Amino acid sequence: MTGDSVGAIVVDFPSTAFSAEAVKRAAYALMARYDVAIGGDADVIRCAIRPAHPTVDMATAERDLRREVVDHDLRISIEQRTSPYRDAILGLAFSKTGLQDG
Amino acid sequence: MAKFRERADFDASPSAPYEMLPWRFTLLDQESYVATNMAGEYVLMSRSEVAEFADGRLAPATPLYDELKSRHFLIDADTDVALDLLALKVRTKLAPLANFTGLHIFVTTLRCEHSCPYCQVSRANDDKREFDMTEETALKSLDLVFRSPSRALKIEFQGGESLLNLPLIKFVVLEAKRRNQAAGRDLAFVIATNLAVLDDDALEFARQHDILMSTSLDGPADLHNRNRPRPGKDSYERTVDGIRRARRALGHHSVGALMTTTAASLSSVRDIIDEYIRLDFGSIFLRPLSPYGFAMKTKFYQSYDQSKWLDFYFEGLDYIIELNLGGFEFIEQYAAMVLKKMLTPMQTSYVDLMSPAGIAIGAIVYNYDGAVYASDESRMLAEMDDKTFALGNVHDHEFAEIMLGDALLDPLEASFASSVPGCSWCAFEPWCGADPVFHHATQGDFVGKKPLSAFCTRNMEVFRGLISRMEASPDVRRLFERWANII
Amino acid sequence: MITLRGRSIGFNAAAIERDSTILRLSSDERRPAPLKAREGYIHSHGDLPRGFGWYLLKSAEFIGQVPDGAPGAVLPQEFDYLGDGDVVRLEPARGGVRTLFRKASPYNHFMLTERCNNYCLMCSQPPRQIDDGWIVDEVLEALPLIDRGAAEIGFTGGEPTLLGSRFVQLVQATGSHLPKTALHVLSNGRLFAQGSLARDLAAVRHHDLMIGIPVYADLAHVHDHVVQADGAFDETIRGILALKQHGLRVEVRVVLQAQTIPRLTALARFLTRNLLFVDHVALMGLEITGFARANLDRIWIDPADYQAELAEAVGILDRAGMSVSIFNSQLCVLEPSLWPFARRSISDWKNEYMPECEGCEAKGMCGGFFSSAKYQYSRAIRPILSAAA
Repeated sequence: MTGDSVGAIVVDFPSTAFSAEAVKRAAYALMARYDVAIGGDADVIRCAIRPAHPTVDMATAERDLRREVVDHDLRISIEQRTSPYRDAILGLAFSKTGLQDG
Repeated sequence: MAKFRERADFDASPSAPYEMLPWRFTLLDQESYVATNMAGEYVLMSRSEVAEFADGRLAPATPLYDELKSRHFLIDADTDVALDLLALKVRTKLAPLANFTGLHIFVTTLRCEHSCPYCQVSRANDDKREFDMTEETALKSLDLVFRSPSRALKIEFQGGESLLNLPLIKFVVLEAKRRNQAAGRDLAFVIATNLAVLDDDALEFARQHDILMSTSLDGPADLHNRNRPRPGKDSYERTVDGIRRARRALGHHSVGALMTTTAASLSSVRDIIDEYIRLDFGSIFLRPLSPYGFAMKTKFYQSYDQSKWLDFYFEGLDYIIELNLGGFEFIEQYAAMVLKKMLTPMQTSYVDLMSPAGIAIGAIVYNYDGAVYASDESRMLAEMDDKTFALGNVHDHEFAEIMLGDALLDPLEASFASSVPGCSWCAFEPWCGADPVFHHATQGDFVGKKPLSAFCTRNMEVFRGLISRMEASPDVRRLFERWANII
Repeated sequence: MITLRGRSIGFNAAAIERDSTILRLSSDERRPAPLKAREGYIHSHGDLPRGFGWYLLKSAEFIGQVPDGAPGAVLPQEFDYLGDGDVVRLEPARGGVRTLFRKASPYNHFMLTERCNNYCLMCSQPPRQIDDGWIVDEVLEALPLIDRGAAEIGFTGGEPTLLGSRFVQLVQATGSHLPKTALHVLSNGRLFAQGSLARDLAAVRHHDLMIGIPVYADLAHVHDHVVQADGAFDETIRGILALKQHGLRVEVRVVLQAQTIPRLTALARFLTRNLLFVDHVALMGLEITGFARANLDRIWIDPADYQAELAEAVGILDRAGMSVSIFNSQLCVLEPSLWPFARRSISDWKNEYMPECEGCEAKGMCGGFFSSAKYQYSRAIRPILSAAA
């Protein structure tokens, strides 16, 4: 396990249940309040949460990250399952003529 | 007579699982989420409903199921015409792109007798003619204007104080109209002016050629004059006098006003709105302060942050809503433009909320010296020696070199909201825009880290605030439906 | 209610042997001779002018004045309304007369077929699966006789598009023979969804054509239930899209009844987001005839009980800039805010007033009722006694 976990709140996500992509998106979404360092191994994605500014209250940091990861995991799942329709609709949108003026 | 079948007989949806159509969800408040489809239609759901729907566990013939089906978040064994309709709606939102540049800004001069601290343009003294646009530059700029395929072409004169170079304005208007006899477009002209130097000659010319006037009105006299100092300290009085004279000559609806928000404005939004009402305007545009030009140089921008502006905005919006519900019609224009994107299948031409970004493809700037900028803000950055968004010069480059150069295509491509982190999974993306100039100026790249972006924070809070207000009151919802269709 | 069809008409001896014929009627004794010869003189009083092809009398006492050898008939009192410019079909062998066109009526419609591919719960013209192709022939024959000053005519059914290319041919003929007359076609739109019908219709380039198409809900199965046909909603919507793609004008029609009221505001929102480009939205009061009477328990709702939904729906459509009209609704029952949208429209051969209307000052503005309304009408009908400004 690489990364300095000293002084950080450490949260683990099992790789079987969550994708690295979901964890990265969650870290991105929380960057205004938390710095999240992402590491881990084949079984676990390990996040080390630190405050982004000295004034940030860390009381809900773990909960916030867990919720964010779950939400993003769901979003990725929705994106994957609906992407054929997204392509079909965009394809239809660019192939038809007329009806541009509402 | 054949037997009549019951309704359940026609509902095939229980026979097979439903299929989700593309959708996104983002937090609205503690209790609910906003879900949007590809056309920017929204439904509110609780977190458990989000999970239920995404999981395939939503039961047919329940109110939420019916709403999601009606609004094209799902299809089922019963119907799939949603695909045709969504394609049509997506196409409708994107179709105006094909019109290309509609707004063409001519900077006739940098000269100005005001010295507004937030001014987005370098000032120059009154007698320096080398800061005036020449006729040769104007002609070359007009060449580019008419290369735009847009049916409607609006030419807007800015500055400095644009009227200080009235001869050039006359030249451009007459030449544009002459060329338009063959081109056959819908031509419109606007002069952005502080009205302090508006003389009868300018008014008569404007009257003859149906030119609109757009002026700055920051609020009541003391606030306006504090924001906009000029020799004589009488900017407000001259503005009011100019509005009266312009209306008399050109017609009441030919004169518009824009306000600029400063630290001094933040506690006075009702007074500002009352001032607009007192002067018989039918609307106001509550604008944020942009971090460019003199604002940046004088550290003006840092004197307040987004949350203060949001308080200012919603206090103003709520006051305006109150006025409307009391029977007085008055529009908040920023809300109206956003609501058009949220509540109708139509697109707006508000440059700051376009994706692909509105730089050059929504509006373009021809500077006094022939330099072509992707937006007014791009020009501001150039004044601060950052020429990232300078696209070329009318004297040196052809239309294709300007429009297809990397200086324009790179930021357009990089900032496209459907593709970038943060935006590509945000439910508000269909209503939002890309602003590569802002993010370059504030964060150093075209995309920016959206959680740290004032552009993002501001827009998300405006979307949330508008939705909450509609959900809380059917009367507000009806008011917003009217606004969405006025602009 | 005006009678359009008569049996046991008294034809004279010269008429009995004649074939069925379509005639323009004239009351003008100075009509030029070549036209007289092929028109029917419609008589009220005075001497019968010579030279007409036929003589139609409103009173038997004049039958002896018909010129020798000229065919004639005495019409019963119900046909007293006939006048100059009207077009009728005479069927001497069966003693029948049918009015095809009335010049005095602002809106004449032609039923093109009784066949239909829907089977609406409230259908006022219940479909019959018969071979009635002769109707198109009749209309084609009548078109050149119709007054070219007519403001508007309509095509209805059944489902006119079941006639395929003959329907297109009819539209083209109408545009040619009546170059200043608007044509309003009622259709469920389904057959426009596929093939070339929409394109072929657009190719006619009729000068003033509007297709009225019902959409009864924002949800497919609710619409399909009302029209009693699986898959109808998807086809109808695709049909509308095809028509608009080819530049044709479309009106969306909604009949206000118990099956459509619950989702009326949802439908209005659906229209503003998906069909914003249609040219008109018509919200229709229920006509209690045909299947509507058989299905009354499923579809009857007192209009006084749906004014809130109607006002909200109209508001949504109006705020979105769509053109909206309310038809077949009485003013005393309509919310006053909806009066600007109410159109006086019941064809004059159908409309009547109820005893409760006695003394109402707004009768001139109000369309009144279908005569079929005597079976069921709103409890809220009452005279309006001070005409609103």
